[in-house]
Formats: sequence, C-alpha cells, structure tokens
Amino acid sequence: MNREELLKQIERGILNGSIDEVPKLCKKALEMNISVEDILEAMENGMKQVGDKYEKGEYFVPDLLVAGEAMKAGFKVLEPAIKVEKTTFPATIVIGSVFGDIHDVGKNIVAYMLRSAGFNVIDLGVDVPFETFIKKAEEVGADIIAASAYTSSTMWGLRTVIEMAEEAGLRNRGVKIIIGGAPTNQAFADSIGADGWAVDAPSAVKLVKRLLAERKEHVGRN
Amino acid sequence: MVNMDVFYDKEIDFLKERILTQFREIEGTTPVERVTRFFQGKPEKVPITLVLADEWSAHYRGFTTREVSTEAKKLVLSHLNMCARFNLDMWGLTFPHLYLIGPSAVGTKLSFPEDSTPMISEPIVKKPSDVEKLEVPDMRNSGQMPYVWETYRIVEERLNDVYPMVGERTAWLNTGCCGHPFDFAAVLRGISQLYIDVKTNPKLVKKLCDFSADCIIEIGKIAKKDFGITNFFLAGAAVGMLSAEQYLEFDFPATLKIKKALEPYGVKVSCFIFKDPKIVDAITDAGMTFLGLPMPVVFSTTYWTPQKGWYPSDEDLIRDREEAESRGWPVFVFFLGHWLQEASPRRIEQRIRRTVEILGPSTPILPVSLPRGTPIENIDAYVKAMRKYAVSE
Repeated sequence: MNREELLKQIERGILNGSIDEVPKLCKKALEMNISVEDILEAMENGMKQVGDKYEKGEYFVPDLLVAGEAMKAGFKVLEPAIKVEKTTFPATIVIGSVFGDIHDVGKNIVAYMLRSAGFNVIDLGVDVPFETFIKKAEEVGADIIAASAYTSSTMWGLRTVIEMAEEAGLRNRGVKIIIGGAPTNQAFADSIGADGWAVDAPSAVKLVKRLLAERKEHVGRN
Repeated sequence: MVNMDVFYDKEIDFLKERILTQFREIEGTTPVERVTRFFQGKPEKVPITLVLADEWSAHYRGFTTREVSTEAKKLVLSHLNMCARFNLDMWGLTFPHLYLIGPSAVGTKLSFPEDSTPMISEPIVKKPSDVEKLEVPDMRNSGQMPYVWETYRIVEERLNDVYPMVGERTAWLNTGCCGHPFDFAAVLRGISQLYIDVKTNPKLVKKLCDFSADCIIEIGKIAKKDFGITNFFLAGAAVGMLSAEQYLEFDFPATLKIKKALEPYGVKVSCFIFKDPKIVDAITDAGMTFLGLPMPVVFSTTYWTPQKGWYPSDEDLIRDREEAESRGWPVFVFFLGHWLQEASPRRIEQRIRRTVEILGPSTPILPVSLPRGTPIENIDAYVKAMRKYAVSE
C-alpha cells in the first residue's frame, strides 16, 4: 500500500467508525514515516465527511460517536509523535458542561471534532464550576470557551459563565464564548450575549474557525 | 411535631374541590367531561395541559426537584397546584426522571441532587458480559418503583373523578413511567456507550433491548392489575437520536414484544413521537399509537430539532397539515416550553391564533418541557389564547 492509499484508508476508517482499524493504520503510517500532520489531516477529512453526512441526515448520533471513538483510538497512537513534533495548534479551546449538568455526550462529540480539526482542546468534563471555566481559560491562555448545557434548568449557567468571563476581563482580551446543548438555540445565545451557538459538533468546528478568522482579521486591521 | 402528611392530604382535598368548582363556574364542565367530549368529536374547547412541567410545578409549589423525584405525594401535589392555577383539562403528570425509574429497579444507582433532575451514578452494564447477569427484578418493590405505584395509588384513590389515570380518554402521558426499550437499555449501559454499541456490538444492544422489554412488560402487568390501565405509554429520549433503520433494528422488535405481551391483558401500547415516516408507519401499521392517544396523529413539533426554533414555523405547520390530510389523521402541535419562557404574552397570543388559522380550531397545541423559570403571565397568555381560539367544531 502506498502513502496516498494508506491516508485514504485512514480517512475511510474514520468515516466508517473503524475503532480497531484506525489505530493500526495510524501505526503503519508512522512506520512509513508519514508526518503526523498528514495523518491528522486524513483523519480530519474523514471527520469532516462524518459531519457533512450528519448535517444531511445521512448519519446519526451513533455514527458520530463511533467516528469520534475511532478518532480517539488513532490519537492514542499519534500522541507520542505529536509531542515529539510539537505540533502547533491554531488555538486553544476550554470546553465543559456547566455546573449542575452531567450530560457529556454532545460535549464529548464537540471536543472530539475540535481535536480532530487540530485545535488544542482542554476538556474540563461535566458539572464544571463556573469559576473553573474562567480560571482554566486564564491559565492556558484560551482563545475560546465552549460551554454546554443539556437541561432547561442548567442552561442559565451558560449566562453565568459569560458574565464571569466579562467580569474577569477575558472578553476584552478577545476570548470568545460559544455555547450549545439541547435546550439552546441562536435566540437564546443572542439573549445571553454569547459569541456563537452551534447546533451540533460539525457546526461547532465551523463556528470556531469562523470566530478565529474574524478575530485574526480584526487584529490584522488594528 | 407536625405531621406534614396530614397537611398534604388536606391540601389534595382542597385543590380537588377548588378545581371542580373553578371548572363548574368558569368552564361549565369538568376536565374529564371536556376531554371525553373532545375525543368523541363533539364541540368543545380543545383540552390543554402542560407536559413535562415537573420542575416548574415543583418550584411553583415550593418543593425541590429532589422532593418530587422521591416523594409521590409531593409530586402529585405540585402537579395539582399547577392544574388548579391554570384550570388544566388534563393531568400532565409525569415523573421528572421517568427514564431512570425502571432501570433503578434493575440495580442502576441514581443520585438525587437537590435542585436538578436525578442522575445515573453508575451504569450497571459496565462490560458486555454483565448483560448475562441481569435478571428481571420484582417491579413492585425494587428501586424507585414503589414511588411510581404510590403516585398511581394517590391518583386512583383520590383524584379519579378529576384527573383519572385510567382509560384511553385521558391517558395521554398519564401512565408513562418508563421509556422505550432502547431508552431503558441506554440507562443500563450508559447512553453514549449504548450508541457506540449500536455500531460496534449490535448483538449486545438487541439483548439489552430485549431484556428491557421484559422489565417493561412486568411494569405494564402491574399497572394493569393494580390500577386497571388500558394504555401503556413509552416515553422517548435516546431512542429519538437513532436513524429509522437503527430504530427498526433495535427498539422496534422489543416494543412489539411489549405490545404482544400486554395485549392479552387488554392493554394497548403507545409510543413516543417520531418524525421519520418509516418509524411512524411501522408503529401505526402494528396497531400502536403515540402518547397514549386513542388515534394516530401527525405531530407538528421541533422536539427533536430544537435548532429550528422552539415553535414550529408556519411552513412546518402547513407541511404537517398536508401530511395529516394525506394520512387522514389530525395534527397535534407540540411546541417546546422554552418558547413560553422567552416569548411575550402578546406574541404568545398571536402565535396561537396564527396556528389555529393554519391548522383549524380543533387542533391541540401543547407546550412540552416547561423550564422552571417560565413566567406565570406567559402561561396565562397561552391558556387564555387556547380558550379563546381553540374550540373544536
């Protein structure tokens, strides 16, 4: 199998959610001295297709999750090499489900896909105290805070995160706050002053890319 | 020491009288009569209720979510207070964590935060081989099932002439105390893990759904034996995220198993709302309905697609009306309660009026999943608009 064929197989492996196959292929690719960036790109392409199929209603949550698992399995193999190569990530994202909320399915999918898109994702987990979002974002110099809530009673915690980020001066420093979760929508995001809202993981990746591009443009202009 | 239980009993009696008096004086009928007339196709104001309003009603009555998730009398009281406040025609009583109750009987550990719905502490099927150890438990006495039966008992013994639990005419969500087999299985296995199993270990998913069906059948049998229910409703959450093919492969055979097992007892099974026509057809072809309703209906809802907005758009309503016409079924609007929280009373009145213009005055328009912060004046606006515009011919 040549280089291109192998990368294509990795891409297809993600698309098909081949949890066992993808790490083997990644290992083989490293042995063939294919760069981590190229392998990641193949995985990202696979994940992008997963996202597109999900948007079109061809894929469903199980397909997304299993692709995410395949991605995770591939990452495990690549991780040591990533460290050696010191891959530079375009941005750092702090993600978590807000205080009182233990739902992690959607948040995990978003985290997977952001990682697959090459971002440095710091996953705080679930039931995250509001101040932890802020402290972590300050500590790592985050570009984006992504907060999620699954229930109507916890969704108001998203507003608290935004208010605390404002209070801490993070927003003045250009940190963007995006939200998501079942009971939320664009109107809700606007009403609480979020910088963006995403309906699902593929849209979250697009949103992050757009916000970062806008910020870059803004900095460029100034 | 004050025995609060006695106070709560007196409050139930008081609220029951209040509801009946209010209805007689304002509505000129009783909730049961209204619902019965409506389903018989006689002219009547379209029945209303607030579906999945457990947290709202708990807080309105001054109880915590934990209290109503563990104490039957407080759950009933909180719903009854809400019904009395808004003159609701139907008992929208559900359990805040209905998906977790059955699995708790199997051994799933739950935690009960004070002000949030209960959560799974730990799934019971940690590895695939654990499924072999599962046994159908005593569904009368295990886990949180006694809390369910106590709730049913209170309603049956004390409120049957106001909001009956029994019978198709008022079934709706009343008797719903567990989810579809896939939802039951998702709690046993962990929701995300079961989704992954759908792709990686379908045999395990089928086994878990089949086991879940056996547990649900036991619940249905007790509900029939002790309370005479004639319609057994299965709620849906995780199951709604499956493709039609996945639904038909994993959940549907188990749901059919429940239907076949309960049929000889005179209990009909009804499913949750689905939008995919393949799923809708499979369910109705098998002789089942949705939400405990006596007939199949087309649901106009963004329940599974909240990103489209919390209230169906005019285009959605028109499309669903056309589908209903082609199937010869009525349309029910099921809008997300978040809309009631966010909209103004004026907007609510306009939207209900517009919906009635599009779908006709006989259309039930019901909020589902009411956030606890929803302003009372907004709920009043909804009730007022429904009473004004939604009158079946």
